[in-house]
Amino acid sequence: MNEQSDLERDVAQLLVTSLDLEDVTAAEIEPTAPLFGPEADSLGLDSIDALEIALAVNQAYGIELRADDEANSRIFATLRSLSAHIERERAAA
Amino acid sequence: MVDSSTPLIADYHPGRPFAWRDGEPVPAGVALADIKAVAAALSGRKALFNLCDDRYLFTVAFAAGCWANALNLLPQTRQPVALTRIRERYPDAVAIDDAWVAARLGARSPIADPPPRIAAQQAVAVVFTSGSTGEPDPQLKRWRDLAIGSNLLRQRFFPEDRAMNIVASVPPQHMYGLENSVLLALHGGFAAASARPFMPWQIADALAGLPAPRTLFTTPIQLKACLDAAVDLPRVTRIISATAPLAIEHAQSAERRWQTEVYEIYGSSETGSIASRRPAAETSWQLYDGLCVDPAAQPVVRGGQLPEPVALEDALELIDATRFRLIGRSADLLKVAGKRISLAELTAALLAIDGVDDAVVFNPPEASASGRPTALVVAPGCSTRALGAELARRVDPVFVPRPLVKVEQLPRNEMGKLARADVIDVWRAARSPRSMVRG
Repeated sequence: MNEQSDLERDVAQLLVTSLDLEDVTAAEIEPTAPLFGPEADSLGLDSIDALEIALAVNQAYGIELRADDEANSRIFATLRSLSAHIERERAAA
Repeated sequence: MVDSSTPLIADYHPGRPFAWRDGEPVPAGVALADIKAVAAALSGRKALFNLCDDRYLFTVAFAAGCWANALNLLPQTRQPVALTRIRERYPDAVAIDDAWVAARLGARSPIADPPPRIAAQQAVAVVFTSGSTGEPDPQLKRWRDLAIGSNLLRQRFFPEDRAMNIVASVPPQHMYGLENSVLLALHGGFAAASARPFMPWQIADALAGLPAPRTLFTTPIQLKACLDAAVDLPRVTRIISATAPLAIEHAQSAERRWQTEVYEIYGSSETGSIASRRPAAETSWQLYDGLCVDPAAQPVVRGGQLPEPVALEDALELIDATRFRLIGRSADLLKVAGKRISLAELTAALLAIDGVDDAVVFNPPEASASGRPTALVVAPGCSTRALGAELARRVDPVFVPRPLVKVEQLPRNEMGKLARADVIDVWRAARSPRSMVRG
């Protein structure tokens, strides 16, 4: 397993808390595994989760995540991409 | 009531706004040129998979299909298994997405001809209810059905409005999205934004990108997210919600916060929208004009856009022939994110996965806000993650039970039946930290 960065650890915890994930802990979320989609290593999230994640990220980091374009599926692709996006947005703010 | 044919674009004036893209109006004349060009590209096809995300491109492809007499197939899910099943029935269908349509648009200038007339009886679309384990259930829509339904919708919400700019946060492939953002442009003279905003701030941006008067068509989950995120909306004439029950408090809060009127639509893929209410002010639903419900053990709705009476799946209390209260949804039926599936279908889908010995999908004792089901599953060799992922290939991911709880066996009685109380007991016990079976 890839090691989680500090921010990735925080974002992983945010995912687990905001989505009430019961079958996975924050530490178990592989930074490069897909969050969405049917792949075997995917966290199996869906559009409702995306909305909940966006609200939680907005509250925690003041960032407005967007959905439904190609750039966005890259942002939401993995814990790593989501964390990197948050970091970029925070730096730009 | 409806002529044997009606124009593809009602009340056609080449200059009136037909849609909004990137803050700019698309005049109806330009839209018609685009539709004509795409119709030519569809010539000879019997059907198209309309998979466009961009609402304008979807509408162009939809209308082009009507013009070219190619049936619009509107799957509500992109699950590979469901799409394959539909494709088997329509081997000729061409799959169309944004890029396909964008590459075939017309010469950005209005054409001189008026819109063609479409035969009232022409089958123009098939709406598929949630793709599940079995066959996706196709609902055939004729041009006439959609035209009448769209006129009734317009009469109910916009009797005085000559123009309306629409933002819709639901996909156009869904019957609700089709009616409010595609058909209101073709039949109602209104203009919808091409965007499909999903997050609260995107909804706010999409509305701010349109001039007044504005109407937002959305869902209870997104409306609640807009409240939670406390977004600022420009002046909105109406906010209309459908696909799942809207909490009265949320309707009231939204009316207060954005100084608007919030309405709720009742309908289904089979019927289209048939009734409405303003939850902040009334508990009963008023059917659209021309529709009525027969009082019977299982209520049946008839009239309006319906070629024949349709049995409703919900329990209703009739106040009179045109007003009713919703008593409850059928217990076996799940509705998540506007998509439907029955618990029985979902259980069957889970049982069909290799390695699953036994399973039951059910509603948890305390319903979650999202309406997701939960499940007990006996599958000694499988992880819950792998089971969830496999199920998400077969049914829409929003239906994947959460949590999927692994147990050693289900509490079946000697007849092999499961009592809900026993299922809940085992489910609770399995989720207590001490005995959690980890996948």
